[in-house]
Amino acid sequence: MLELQAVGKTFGELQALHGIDLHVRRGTVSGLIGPNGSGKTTLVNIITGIYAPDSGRVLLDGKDVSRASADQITRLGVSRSFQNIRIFNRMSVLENVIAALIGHHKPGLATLLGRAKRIGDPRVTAARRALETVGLLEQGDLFANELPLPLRRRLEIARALACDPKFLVLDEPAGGMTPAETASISELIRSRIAPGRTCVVIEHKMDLISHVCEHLCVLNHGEKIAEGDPRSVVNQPEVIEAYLG
Amino acid sequence: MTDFLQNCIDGVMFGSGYALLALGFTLVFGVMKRLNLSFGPSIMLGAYAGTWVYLNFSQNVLLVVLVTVMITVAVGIYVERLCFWAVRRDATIASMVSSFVIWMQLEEVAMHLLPERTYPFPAFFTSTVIDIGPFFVRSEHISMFLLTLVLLALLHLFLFRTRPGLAVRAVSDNPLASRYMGINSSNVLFLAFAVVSVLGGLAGFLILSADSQVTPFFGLWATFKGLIAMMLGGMGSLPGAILGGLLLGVVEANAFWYGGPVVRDISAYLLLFMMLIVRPGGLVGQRIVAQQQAAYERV
Repeated sequence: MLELQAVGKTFGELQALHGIDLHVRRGTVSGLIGPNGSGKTTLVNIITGIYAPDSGRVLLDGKDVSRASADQITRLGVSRSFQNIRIFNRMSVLENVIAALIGHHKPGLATLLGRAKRIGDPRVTAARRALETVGLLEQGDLFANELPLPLRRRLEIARALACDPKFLVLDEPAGGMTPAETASISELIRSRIAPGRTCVVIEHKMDLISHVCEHLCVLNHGEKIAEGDPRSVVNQPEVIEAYLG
Repeated sequence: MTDFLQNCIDGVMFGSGYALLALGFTLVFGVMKRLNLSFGPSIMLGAYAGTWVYLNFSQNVLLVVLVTVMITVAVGIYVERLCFWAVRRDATIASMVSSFVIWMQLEEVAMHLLPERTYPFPAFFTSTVIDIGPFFVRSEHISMFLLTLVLLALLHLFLFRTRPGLAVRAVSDNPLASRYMGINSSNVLFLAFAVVSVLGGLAGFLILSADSQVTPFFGLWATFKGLIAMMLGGMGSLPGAILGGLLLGVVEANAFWYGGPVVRDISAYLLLFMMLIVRPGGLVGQRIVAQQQAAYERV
């Protein structure tokens, strides 16, 4: 499904990633953890086409997408949410999701000439379905900046879900949340988002990782230091030393 | 008091033209966070092309409107490709300077097309004065005001009811997020320029029709008035552009009545300076400035 072969990335003098290999099987939820500055976000940015790797390859369903741009990767079926929330503040919750769908479809005359919120439009239907999945349908007409942080994170996830992605990346979906809010989003991911999808979840909160992930990869200083079943990985001495303390 | 109210009516009527110019500036600034200084000269060249057709080929006013708008759009796209598309997104100064260079180029082209300083510009209707109680309104000002309202409604429909409008708003709201969502900002920018140029071409026609003449200085005039109206309302704000245009019109009309043409021109700059000192974000952009200030203080 998604395969990274010896992916490396350098920013000036800093080697952010050293030959990372990663294999994410179809229909699984993989976790990616590591201390701050370990290269998690750089890796995700390479997967989603924001950065091109300096070395190595990224394969999506066997196709080399190492040099594809972010919008091309999006159209290949990869969607993501962001650690730093990147919603459209001056647009409604529903419009936020529709905007993501406009970007997801290849530009054409039908896309250009259509009404943005026509009832019965497949984009509007998909957007409403995604909002319903994350429990935000009732807030569809609110401005996005009126939502509290936990609901903004849900909006980010809805935006990624609406594109019916083959591959979903959730970057710190519980960032800044209280334990109760974390438990709620964790259950949402496990019960309504993950089933039938291939996901990578980046998170610091081990409760969430162990609740939703079947596979775990640990990065430190741009290197992969452990990989495997979450319960066994977190007990490995090098992981405890590097990350869990 | 009657004079003051009459001036306000005149100001609102003419200020609607300023509002259209300001919308052109603010829409491009909202999408790109970059200033297009050659917006006014693009309109001037469109108007010159319309005048050239009027003087040499046909007295049909609709044809003049069409040529003015089409040439403004063509020049707008030329400016977009040269000064914005080809220049890196973060090179804001380079874009602004190159749009200034294109301004000079467009004035040269206009001077070669029609070398005299002043030419007559056609109007849709013959000028009449309509009495409304103690007040009066010129017919060309009413038509400019009403057409501006129609254009504003169409722009609103485009931005808030269509998919490309949604894409324009998305890029304007959060360029990085739109890129990550797969929205092609280059196409959106092209579209925004085309829409803005249509608005500019029509605004140019309406203003010049009311004035009955066109000169090469119209580019400079339109750039100044549009920029001032945008700054008064708040950079990047569409309602702000409309309010800024109307305020500028009202202040200028009163300044002209009580002090003459020189005072009118000075009043526009004075108003802008006062606004920048008292409310640097403009009439409706103050909240954005306050947020930026708060973020700066946190850092």
